[in-house]
Amino acid sequence: MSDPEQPQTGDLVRAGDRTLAVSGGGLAARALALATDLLVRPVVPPQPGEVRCFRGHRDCVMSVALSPDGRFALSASWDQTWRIWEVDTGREVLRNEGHGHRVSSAVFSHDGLTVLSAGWDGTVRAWERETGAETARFGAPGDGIVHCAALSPDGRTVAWGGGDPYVVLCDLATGEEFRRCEVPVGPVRALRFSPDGRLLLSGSGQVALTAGGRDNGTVCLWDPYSGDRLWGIADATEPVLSVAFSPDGATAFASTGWPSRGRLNITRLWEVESGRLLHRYEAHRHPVFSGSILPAGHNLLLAGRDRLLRIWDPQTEEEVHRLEGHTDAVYAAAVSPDGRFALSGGSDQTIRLWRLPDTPRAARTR
Amino acid sequence: MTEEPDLPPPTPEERELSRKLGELSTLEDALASRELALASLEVELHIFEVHYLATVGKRYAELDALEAEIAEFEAARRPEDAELLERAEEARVRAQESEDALRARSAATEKRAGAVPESLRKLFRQVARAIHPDLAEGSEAVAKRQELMAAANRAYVTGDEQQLAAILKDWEESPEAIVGHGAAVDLLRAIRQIARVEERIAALDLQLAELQGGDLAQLRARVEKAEADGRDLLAEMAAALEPRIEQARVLLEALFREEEASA
Repeated sequence: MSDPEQPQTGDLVRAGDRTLAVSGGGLAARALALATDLLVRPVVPPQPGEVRCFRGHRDCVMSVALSPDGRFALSASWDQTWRIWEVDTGREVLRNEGHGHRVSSAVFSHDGLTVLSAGWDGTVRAWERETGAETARFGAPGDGIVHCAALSPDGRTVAWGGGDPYVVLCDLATGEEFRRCEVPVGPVRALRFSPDGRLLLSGSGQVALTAGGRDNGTVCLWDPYSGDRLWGIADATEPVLSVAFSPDGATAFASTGWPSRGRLNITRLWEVESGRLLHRYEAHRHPVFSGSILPAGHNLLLAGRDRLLRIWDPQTEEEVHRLEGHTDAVYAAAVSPDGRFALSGGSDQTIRLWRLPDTPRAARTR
Repeated sequence: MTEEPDLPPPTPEERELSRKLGELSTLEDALASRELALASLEVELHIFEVHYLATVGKRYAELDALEAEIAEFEAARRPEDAELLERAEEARVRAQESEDALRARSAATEKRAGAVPESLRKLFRQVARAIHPDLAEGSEAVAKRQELMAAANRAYVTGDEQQLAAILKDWEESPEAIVGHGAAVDLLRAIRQIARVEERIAALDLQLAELQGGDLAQLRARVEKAEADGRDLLAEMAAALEPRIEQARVLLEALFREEEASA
């Protein structure tokens, strides 16, 4: 494939060799375009496993979240900061020390523009994701630990709870508290709005502090706007640290566990509509600190003291997959909306991004 | 102290000639280095190409073939649609080109694998230095040297050290080899040669730049960069193509089934 337009003496020597660098059919050009595309796009490893590790926190990571567009990771840590990381690069893009105390939870608003965090300073605060500027504050410093906070999908309602046995509901725009939902036992440790924003799931409970005392826990489903408790259980034998809705809102999840106890973990699933208990397991030998129902299927992602992220099939009661990498207890895990990635954080002070295995249904529809 | 022979002082022309010959020698070294660099890059790209065609190119060829078949299927279903027909023809041409590229390379694959040994590089440089066509005078001599240089290039690319040594030996024993630039070379000739060698170096530099800026070299650069980051880009590319191939396969199957059902 010589260049017929330039028959210079100097080029004749190589005329026979030039095919070497020129592939037919524009194949190299197409391959180059694909290579470039892959290099600028975030890596999507075909195999499940750890994709990236975000290091920087100097104490336990207690809460993690992915921004709706998947570009940012949010973490809350006992090192008194919440941070935002660029998912593609692992770079820390924002660090906020506003609480001045351990940060127990941080979530994104549905438009990804606001961060809502809760801390041991007794406050829940809203921040601009871009700048880290505080835009709203609930509670008062010194009111005791706030364990959790949730933001309704429409971004209007803030639900939060801590040492007191009730869930506080506030209007984000006006700052007005409009309702309190009393739980059987405090502290309130986990809160989630349903995907349609109409329901609120709470988990609470504590371990016995005195000899002869009894550990307990509760799970409640609320209509946060009327304050009605739709159903609930008050007989969990251990504090409920994690609650979740399935992405379609039809199923509710809760699990019990306590970091310093080695008891059997109890994982439950309910039908949201009826409150009917669908499944109850005591199969995990270690406490589960965070759980999610994966999209496009019924599998659960469970994170716990055993340093693992397990994907659990409640139908067969079998572990489908496990993700290993954390070197200590995993306190928090979140799943991307498409179910392909998970983010986790824990005692080893790292945040890790994982490629999840394709669920059978996701694989079928592809 | 040895006694200086009593020679007449060199004339200005003789001094200039010796200066020019020194310059020419330096340039000839540079030229041989360029030849080596170019041939080496070609070899490296060739090795890379074999590798990339085996992983990524193969899948492109498969995908192109499937897509051509799908396009032809669709064109056949609606023969009145000229655009579909055109698309089918384009797809077929592309599939054929990919297939050809793959086949051409697989034929060359056996000839070469692995890095170029230093001895081969040295030998090639020697050959390039000795027989370079730009150093010859007269069209016949130039043609002869060009032919030899092309053979040397081929031997280098295929890693044939014996062949390269034979070329050098034959050359050194041939009468042309003696017609170097010796006492007979006059100043004018030296100046002409310098100009030619400089031109040739510039041409080689251009070729090098072209090759380095080419799709294949750029692809290789990206693969190497990714490798430094612990990524196997070629494998990722292959993986990215897999679902597209699978999709095309499923689509084609569906088209076949439809055809069967309607038949």
